[in-house]
Amino acid sequence: MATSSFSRGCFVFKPSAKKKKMTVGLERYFTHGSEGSESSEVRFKICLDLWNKVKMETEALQDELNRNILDSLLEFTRKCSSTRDHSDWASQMRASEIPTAALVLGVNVPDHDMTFQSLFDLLRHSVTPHVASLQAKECGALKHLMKRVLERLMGTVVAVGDEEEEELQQTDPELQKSVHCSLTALCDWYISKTKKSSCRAPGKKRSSSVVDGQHQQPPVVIIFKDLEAFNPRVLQDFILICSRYIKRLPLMFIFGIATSPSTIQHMLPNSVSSLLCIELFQSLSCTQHLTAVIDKLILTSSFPFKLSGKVMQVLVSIFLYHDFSVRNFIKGLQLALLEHFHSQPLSSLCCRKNEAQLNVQQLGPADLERIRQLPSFKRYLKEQEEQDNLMTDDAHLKDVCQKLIKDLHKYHKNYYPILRCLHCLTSSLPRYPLGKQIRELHLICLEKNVWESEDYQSAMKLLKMLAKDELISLLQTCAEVLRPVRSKKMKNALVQLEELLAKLKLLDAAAEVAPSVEENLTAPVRNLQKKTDLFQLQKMLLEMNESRRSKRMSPFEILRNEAVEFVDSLVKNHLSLPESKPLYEVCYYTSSATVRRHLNATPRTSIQAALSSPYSYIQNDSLKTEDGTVSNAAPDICIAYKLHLECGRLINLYDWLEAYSTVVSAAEGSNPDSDGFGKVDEVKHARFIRAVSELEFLGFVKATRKKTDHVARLTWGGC
Amino acid sequence: MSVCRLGFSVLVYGLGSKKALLEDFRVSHLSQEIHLVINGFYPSITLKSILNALTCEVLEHQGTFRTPSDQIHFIAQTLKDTPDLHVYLLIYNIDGPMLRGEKTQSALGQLASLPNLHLVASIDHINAPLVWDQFKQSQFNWLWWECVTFQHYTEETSYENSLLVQQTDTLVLSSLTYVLRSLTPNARGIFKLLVKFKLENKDNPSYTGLSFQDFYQRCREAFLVNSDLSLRTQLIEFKDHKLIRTRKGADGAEYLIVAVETSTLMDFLENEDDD
Repeated sequence: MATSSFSRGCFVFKPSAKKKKMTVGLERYFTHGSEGSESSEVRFKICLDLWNKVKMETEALQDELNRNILDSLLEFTRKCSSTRDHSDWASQMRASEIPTAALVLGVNVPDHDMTFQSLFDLLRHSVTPHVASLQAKECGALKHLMKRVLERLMGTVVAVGDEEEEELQQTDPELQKSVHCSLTALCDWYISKTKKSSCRAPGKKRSSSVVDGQHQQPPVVIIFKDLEAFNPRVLQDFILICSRYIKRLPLMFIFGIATSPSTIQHMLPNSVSSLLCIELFQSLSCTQHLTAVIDKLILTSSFPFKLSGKVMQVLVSIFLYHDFSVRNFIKGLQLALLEHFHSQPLSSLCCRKNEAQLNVQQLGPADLERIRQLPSFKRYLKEQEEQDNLMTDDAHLKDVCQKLIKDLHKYHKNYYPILRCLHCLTSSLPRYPLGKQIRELHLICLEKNVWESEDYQSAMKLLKMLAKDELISLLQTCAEVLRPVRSKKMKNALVQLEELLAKLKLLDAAAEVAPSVEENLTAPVRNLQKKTDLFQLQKMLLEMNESRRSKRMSPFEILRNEAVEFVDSLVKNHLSLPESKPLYEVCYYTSSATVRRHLNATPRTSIQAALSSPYSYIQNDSLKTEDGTVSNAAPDICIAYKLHLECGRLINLYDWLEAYSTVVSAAEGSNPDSDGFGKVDEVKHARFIRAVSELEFLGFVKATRKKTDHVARLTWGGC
Repeated sequence: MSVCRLGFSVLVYGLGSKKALLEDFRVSHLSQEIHLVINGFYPSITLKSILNALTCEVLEHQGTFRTPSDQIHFIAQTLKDTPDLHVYLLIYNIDGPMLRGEKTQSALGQLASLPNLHLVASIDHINAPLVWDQFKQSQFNWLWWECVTFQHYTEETSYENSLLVQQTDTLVLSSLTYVLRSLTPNARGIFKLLVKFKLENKDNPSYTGLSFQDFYQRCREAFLVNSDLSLRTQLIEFKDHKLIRTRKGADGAEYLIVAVETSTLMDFLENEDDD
């Protein structure tokens, strides 16, 4: 083979330039394996559109969510540079410490990159051009750290477009090699930079005095992206050195912390941390970020692709139990998107309503046949009378499909606002019967009809016990949620809701009808004072209970019940299962096993399953065995594996070989009583050696010096 | 292939050698593309050789680089400037013994996160996923595919020193690095001197090795030993590890010969200079 060799490990293949270079696009790969390749171009286009949309939305969301924290960081930076100029004692003291911002970001390290990138850009544009960003893996020793800092600060010249500036830029690379790697050089460079900009000041028109001050002394910001990974000694030495230069060089640090602020205390001793003036900034927690992402991408009717309950469960559990990374969640969503469009030929209808209507008209006969085979469509057919017409007439089927698609869109438009209303109402109840986060409620609704669950019943009961002001505020939030929706049913619902709210508010004005209630209560109590026996007392208490229940409810209670029943009716109308709607397979991706297999794989389990029961992969009947035993027709490596499991920590190779050859002789069918049975011949020996080398390659055994001719087992326990 | 183009990297796992499977894939799909095949199980593969192959042969740049991170930076820059150039990297056994190091994996991760470079790899060792932490995993962006073939690992095990086959006299790079890492810095210096001398004379057909006196002089000048006895002790240790051999020369003096191949020595020296 062209790629095996004893002397080289790397082989490069370039297509010959003589062959005409076919620019194979991504589209061709997509259509190549997908089912239903007639509509694959359309599907591919939609898929790519949605993919790009996901990317853009997540980036915009990231920017928005980070805005708060970035703004406060910028404020901090500006404040530091401006207080330096004051001459009172407090700021003099503060001026001898290096101002530091400790930014607590959370354990989802892959998501931090984007945050740091936007921070870097913002600082460059608005506060100071002298920003250097460092990663721990490039700063193993103090000299590397210094070198990086100097390179990044001095290499990035302020692009003002002045001639002198450009000259400096050209000579900079040579300067770099000869410049001594120390902070004195940095100070000199900084002084020369600021002097230059202040020399040019008289010629330029100044817009505000604040800008003036900044241009005089822009702070030099150093960002430590992953603080915990830095070598503490290196960091301490660096801070000690920098604190000597603080008078000449307005330094500022930003620490990116993944765990908690106490790491600073662990990494830096008191002598060093007293040289820093630390201020803490907390960034958005990852669960809040995830909630925002789910809001934008999943709980909205403007994104046509939907995930079924199981798939969403897989993605959310990967997020919660594995890595807290929103980036991986998005990746899973993109994978589901790709798989859906690849494997479901009808996904050309999974787009905006108008496009979908057009695509229905263009469906070919094969696709129409597929529609007829869909389980949800079959269910729909049963309810219709004119079944034959639908089964045979294509044009009629297309019309019906258009109507069904329209219904599906309407369903989605109504589903999400009601879901949000229900969430508003139930998220503040004690013990959270329907979950604290909206995604939990969404998962419940996707699995079964929510009004049938016990949690829902208990939630409704709790709602019927709310106090008036709480009820009013909750109903007002619901009204706010329903207001922007442009759907007829939602508008009706909004009108009814507002009527209820108005009535509730009017109750304040009317006088309470309290006295009549008290009268009812006092009568039964007087009866109790008579002498009775146990049975009579029991009967009387039960009667009292009945009368109390059937007493007249106050107007507020009547209204409260009315409100809760109204909410109940909305839920029953609009929060039905998506599986009950015909043609739901077009939009919903249901194969959770595929997603889990691709994202959350377990290679070791697979290898061990293949070794212990090869029947699951090779469907050969002779390999079928009961649990725990291996058939002697199995591949050599399986037999060797099974035999080694029975040994302890150190395995005697000769015994293993003997056992192996016995099993293999039995497989070959030789007579157990014959002389040659179990004897080790050349071929068996060679096969055994090959099997053991493979097991060593996989990592199950390794050579050991403890005993000659023994190998050590590397796996333990039930595996 | 569509998955690759959209930014994911494909990782293939399962029992059995997947080399034939991936070869098929390569021949059928990648024959029109620029691609690089890396045998991770090859015991002398280094990060430097991979990066050199990328810069010299794929990007056709003949200069040298000071550090691997410079090289990676250059590759990233060039690929960013030519967005139409798609390079495919096919790594058999990305968990091979020489590629398991932290530096190598993070370098590969940086390469994999470039949009024009597409990675397809296979793993076999049961503890292979331990090599990647969260950050690297997000850089690689793996999609896992299970491909159980039950084919024999003939190529992968042909390089290893098998347990049951007699040990050969030649050493490979991995064993050399391993042995030398367990020695003191002085011992390493002594060995390097000997190696350098051998490499200087590698084209000399009448090279009989370094005489003991000469060697002792050089070591003294480099402050690596301070007496005859310590040098001899060190040499006995090297002999035990089968790193050198001694021979009596024509004039009765001892001559020292390094028992390792020249190419392996050159790779070894390059690696040592990087660390």
